[in-house]
Amino acid sequence: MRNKKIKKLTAVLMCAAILATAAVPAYASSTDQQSMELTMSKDASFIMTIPSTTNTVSFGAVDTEIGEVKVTGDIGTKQQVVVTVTKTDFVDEKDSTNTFAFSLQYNDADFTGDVWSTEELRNETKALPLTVHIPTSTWENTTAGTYKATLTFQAELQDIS
Amino acid sequence: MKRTGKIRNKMMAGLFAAALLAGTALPAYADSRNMTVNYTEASTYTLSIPATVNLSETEEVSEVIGVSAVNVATTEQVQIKVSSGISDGKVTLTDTKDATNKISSTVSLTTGGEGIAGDAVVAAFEGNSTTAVSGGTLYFSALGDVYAGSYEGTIVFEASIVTKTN
Repeated sequence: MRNKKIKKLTAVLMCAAILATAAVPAYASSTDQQSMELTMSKDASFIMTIPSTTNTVSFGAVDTEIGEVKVTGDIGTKQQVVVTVTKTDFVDEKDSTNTFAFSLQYNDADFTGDVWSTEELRNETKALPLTVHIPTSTWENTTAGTYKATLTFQAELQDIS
Repeated sequence: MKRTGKIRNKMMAGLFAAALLAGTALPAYADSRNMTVNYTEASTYTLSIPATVNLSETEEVSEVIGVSAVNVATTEQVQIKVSSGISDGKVTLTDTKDATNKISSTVSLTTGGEGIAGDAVVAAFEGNSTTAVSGGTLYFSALGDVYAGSYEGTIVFEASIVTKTN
């Protein structure tokens, strides 16, 4: 009985000795992960084209075409370009109190501005011909002189939801 | 008389025995033992992946991926694979302001090459060399004309130590 215990103890000690001397491979880590972020950035840009700086309206002309307004360029898919137009009356250059009104029109309707979308900018297909409309009745009340009016076009890039 | 003689005889026998032992050449054995000395150095590597890569509309972009330190057994290899982020050989970038607006770039192991497979090994290293034995550079194709905006995408790489097959 005692011999059996001694044999078992010896066997255990021998196993421990073998394990202590065995070479066990060790790795710093089994797997390792890292991420790479890919980026690309392109700035939005656009160009607004408006009618010629100077357009002459003939005395008595009811409708005078003055040219097109259009916007081209490259903007984001969630953006748009808003164009607005403001105008002054025709003012007598020698008498600032002598004025008469007119309307700026597109497709026979008063035009105060419009919106260009991303695709319309890219396709360059949206160009709006504008007309200075002065009714006959206005001409009948206009005195001789040289008159000047100013159109101011403004374009703004806007984010849309 | 007899008793003294017996004692004397025994003493003499003992003395003779001792003399014999002292004069006899006893066999001497050479004693040898073995001692095993072990040294274990763990296989290690440090993964080195660029944090950010900026892609181009018009030009291919290349980027090196690899390890900054490596020391593996001669029977092993450090392999880097794509864990996620590439589908059909392409990485997709999404507009940060419009989730429906996406662009993509073909990712290959050679310039102008075919897109890599989902489980392909993109780089492998052996011994203690940081020079890849295969792969090691990724090529991203030009994006082409895209809408204005900021785009982002992610590729996750996974490295592991494997046993060489050849």
